[in-house]
Amino acid sequence: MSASAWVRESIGTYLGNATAVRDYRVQLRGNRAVILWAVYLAVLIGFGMLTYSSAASRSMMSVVEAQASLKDFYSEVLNLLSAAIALVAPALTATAIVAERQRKSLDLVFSAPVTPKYYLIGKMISSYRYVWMLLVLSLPVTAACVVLGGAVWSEVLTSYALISLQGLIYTSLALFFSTLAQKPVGAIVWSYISVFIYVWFISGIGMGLAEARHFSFSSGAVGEMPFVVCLSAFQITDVASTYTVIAGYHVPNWILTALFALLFVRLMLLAGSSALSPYGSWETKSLRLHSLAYAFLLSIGLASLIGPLLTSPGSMSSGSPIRVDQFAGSGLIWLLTSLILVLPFITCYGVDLERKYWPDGVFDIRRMLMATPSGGLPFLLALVLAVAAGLVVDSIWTPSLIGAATPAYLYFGLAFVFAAWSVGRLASAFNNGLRYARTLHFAILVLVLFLPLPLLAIADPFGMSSSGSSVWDLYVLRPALMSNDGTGQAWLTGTVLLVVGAALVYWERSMAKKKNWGIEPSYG
Amino acid sequence: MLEVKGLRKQYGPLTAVKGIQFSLRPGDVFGFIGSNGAGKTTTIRMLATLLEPTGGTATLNGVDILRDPMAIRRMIGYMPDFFGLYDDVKVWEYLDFFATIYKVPSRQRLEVIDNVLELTDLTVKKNDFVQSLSRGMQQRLCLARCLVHDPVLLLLDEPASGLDPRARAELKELIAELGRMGKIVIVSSHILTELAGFCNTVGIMEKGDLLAFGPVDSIIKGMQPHRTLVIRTLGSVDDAASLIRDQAHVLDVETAVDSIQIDFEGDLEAQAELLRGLVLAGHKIIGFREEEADLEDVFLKLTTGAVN
Repeated sequence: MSASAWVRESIGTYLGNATAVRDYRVQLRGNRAVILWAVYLAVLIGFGMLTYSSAASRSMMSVVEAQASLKDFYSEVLNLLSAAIALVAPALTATAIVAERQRKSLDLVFSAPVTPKYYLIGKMISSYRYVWMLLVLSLPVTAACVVLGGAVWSEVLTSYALISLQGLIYTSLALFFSTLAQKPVGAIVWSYISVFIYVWFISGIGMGLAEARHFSFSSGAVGEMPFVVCLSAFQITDVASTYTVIAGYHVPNWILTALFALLFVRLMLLAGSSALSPYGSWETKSLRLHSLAYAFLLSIGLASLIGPLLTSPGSMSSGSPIRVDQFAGSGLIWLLTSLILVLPFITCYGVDLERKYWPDGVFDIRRMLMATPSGGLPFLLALVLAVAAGLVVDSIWTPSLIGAATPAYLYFGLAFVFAAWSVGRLASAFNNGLRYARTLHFAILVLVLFLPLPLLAIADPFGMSSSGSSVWDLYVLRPALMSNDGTGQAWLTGTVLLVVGAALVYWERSMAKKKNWGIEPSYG
Repeated sequence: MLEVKGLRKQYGPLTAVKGIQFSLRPGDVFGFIGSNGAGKTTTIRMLATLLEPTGGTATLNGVDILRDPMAIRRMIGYMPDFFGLYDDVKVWEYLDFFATIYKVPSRQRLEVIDNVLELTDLTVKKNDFVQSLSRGMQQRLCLARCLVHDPVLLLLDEPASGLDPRARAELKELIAELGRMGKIVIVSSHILTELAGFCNTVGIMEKGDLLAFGPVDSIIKGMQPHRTLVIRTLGSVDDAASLIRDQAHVLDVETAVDSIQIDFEGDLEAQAELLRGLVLAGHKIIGFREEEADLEDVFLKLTTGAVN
């Protein structure tokens, strides 16, 4: 594509998007918009009046107290805005695609020369516009804080930018679930669950890292914080002015946050586009390439954040640094448990839906990016290796990241992925229906990973992280849980998982041979 | 030109379309006949690139539906058996949306919208909301939507279902006009009287198989190699019947109270000769006609009523 064609297409997609124009006409028509804005403004004004009356009830207040009170008010307004965005953005977006699917107008759109990307961006613009309208409507309230001395304009603008970026992330999450869901209720529920998990997870990481940094930088460089803290929804006023030092430069965190948000949104849009695209689409290939690149970059990013904690003796409140194998274990738990959300989509096959899900063999590295079932295992293994490669790259600056335990944990991670994948294959071989196979696969993974936890905790309450022999040795994620060296356990559990996985694949193959899928091998 | 080559669709153990093939030329109005569940909609959705075939393919003006679906979409107009209209959208806004996504240049868009509204007789409804239109008007609006980019092929799935007789007649006239404009039109229906009037080609489908394909007349002739003559006489039916049995080209004779039905293999000359013989023999003939089979007869003869 030539540069001028690319510019024309981009302008058409982002500025003259037909979907956004149509939704804009509909959104501002009728009473719904007026009622929504009226309720929103009433809540904001009510909140402002309550705060004002509580401050005014005090007969005497020093200037310092008054300013602190104003700052608190400003902070509370922003938290209210964050909460409103977290509530409104998924609600507005979650039904965007699924409602069209139910109304069957999606078929009309996709019988026209429209790419999923174009359509999803249009929907995203429609929903994101509402987020900005909410923010703009709240400006008089925050402007009052500026006028009265509770905040300065630069803070207000940075905070608004951060809240709008969060709104963008929520919108992209909800849009992704809207492409997957079959019913609006499912889309709304999953969107809120994902937004809740995101807020909880990011806030946890942000606060943890900010706290750790605060202790390790007691010299007074409190403005320096990992940019992840800016992704947290309810710390906006505390983190708006923070920065990250990169190669000696103070880079404002809102810039890094914007970069992260855009990359995240791109990944979500690609995932949604891939879900709406047929076999062999570039959207799917792009999604897989992006996933590998993001896994690599995320690994580098997290390792660079945690790296100093591994070496700095004062990095923990206990005064002892985090050990490398502990770090590897925690990282593995996060990686492998997160993977169970996507494993059924990557692994399972069925002949009832589109061609991209039809069985086409067991392992074919050439189909890794095409996202057909035979490309599932190569992709999963590549994902684990991309994370490992990120660590290796980071070890150039932090050599202690890589140790004797690394090969064992890598072996365990690959074996776990192989075994989990083989479960999905077997679930598919038992059924003709893809959705049933995915549900079964997900249910088995959840059962294997989470059901044993309370039972094992009852059997041996203190054995989970102990290095000695325990009933916990039977648990599949045991090597990642051990507080001391879990290398031996990682090799052992990894080998068991490989054997189990191979047996399941053998079983799946023998079942698949008995079935006539009715698909022409020569097709395509 | 549309060429369908061994198109097949399988859903697990169920084969919805079993390797059908046919070809259509510009100006052909093709009636796709079949019971519910015969595979008509599946075939149309495959041609509209909304469903991937399990086997086979189709080409439109040389472009393969599998290799270049985007190019195919620029050449087709697809009207499903549901409206898929948006609420709170005006008629012109609805058409403007589709004209934009079909990349109709912005300078031409308003003119195109006016033209398709005129063609579908909806000009007076241009500024009305789509939900305020009657069912027949909504159907015509859907057809107008299919026409904004001047497609080569129109895929109309059950276009007249739920319409009143007047709206149905108007739609039939509109589809016939589109055929005269040189477009290939595929119309699916299980209401045969809908199709007989304006389709020049039909295909009969059952359980995923295309049982018959071709011009309406040749299919009827193919199904009925002999003529069926019905004669009414004032005199003795049995006497007339015995005379007829001895005539040339007569294969079989059945009698009723006041009429005789003849299975006849002769041409028009032979028919005239038969009539002259009866009159000369003194029979008072008050009716002599050839009973013509219609699509419904052909359909009932060909199909068994089985569904997938």
